[in-house]
Amino acid sequence: MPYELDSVESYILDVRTILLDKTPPYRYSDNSLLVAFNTAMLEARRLRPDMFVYKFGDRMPYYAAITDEHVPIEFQLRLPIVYGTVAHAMLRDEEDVPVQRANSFMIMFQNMLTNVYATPLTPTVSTPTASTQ
Amino acid sequence: MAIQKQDFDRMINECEVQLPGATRAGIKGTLFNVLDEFLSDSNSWLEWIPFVIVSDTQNYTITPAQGGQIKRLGQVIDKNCVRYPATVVGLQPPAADLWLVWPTNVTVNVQAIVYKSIVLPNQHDQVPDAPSWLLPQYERPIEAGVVGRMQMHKAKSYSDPTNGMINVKRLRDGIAMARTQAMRGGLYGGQSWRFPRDFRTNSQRGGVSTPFPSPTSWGV
Repeated sequence: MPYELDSVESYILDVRTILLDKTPPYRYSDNSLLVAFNTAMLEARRLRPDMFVYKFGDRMPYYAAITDEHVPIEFQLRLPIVYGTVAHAMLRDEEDVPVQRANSFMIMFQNMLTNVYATPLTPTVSTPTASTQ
Repeated sequence: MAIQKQDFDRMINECEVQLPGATRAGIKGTLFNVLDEFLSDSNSWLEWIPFVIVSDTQNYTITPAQGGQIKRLGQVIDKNCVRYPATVVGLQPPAADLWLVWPTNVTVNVQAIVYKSIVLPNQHDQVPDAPSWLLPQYERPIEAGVVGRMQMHKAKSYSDPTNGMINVKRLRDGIAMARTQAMRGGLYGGQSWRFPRDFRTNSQRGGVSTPFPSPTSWGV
């Protein structure tokens, strides 16, 4: 199902898709993803204040529940918010997700806000070197 | 009349195409600054404001009726085009306080010709309250100004300082063109008229302005 990424619910659904965490009981709780989502928004404000200052001034939108509440992010900058949320969620997980992958999402998040191109995701498992035989 | 929606939308769309990853909110914010710079520096938005001079009163406050804020005064004239020397002694946007140099002893209906720029608050949806002719007439330099100013931003997906400087220069060229057109009253081939040099009755020798030359310098 395609996500329009216009509500808190659609953002969290897409984040769960990337995290491979769509079936309850969830590995990442709703609350932890909301924290990651709100934190990604704060980081986005640091990098791209124009996303928020004209609408909210010195305030920031904050979301305390996964609902269909509208998230006022313009189309072209919605995907970075997804990646930023994924990065924050992964950074808090120390069990089986390498920090390297979290960092890759964080770099993609930041690069999509501050550069034209996103940096490719770093492979989780190192690629085998070609044999010289 | 305010900026028309179709003109405004076209302008924002053109800017968004040239600025990858820019927000429309950011473009509108920058547009306000560019319009203010354009109108302030070109004197192209003027309004004739009627008011009545009463005897022995030299201070007047005039307010534009067609939007915008007064930036500077052109002149005060009556129906016979007689000038009344006046100066701006205070700005309280959108209005301005005028002071007539010489008091009159009769009541006179006059017009103050003022040059204006945009002022807050904006209209709905962050559209600046600017005249309807502005974008159709000067879209290209204004668009270049918005794109250039945003390209000069630091660490954004649309940052491009090299082309930003070129685009800002295109804005300044457009401002110079608009200022000339306004000065010539929109007349093709016109120019700001003045007496030929030989008819001049005052002098600026030595770099000192002499608005009231002594009799010995008359006819020089």
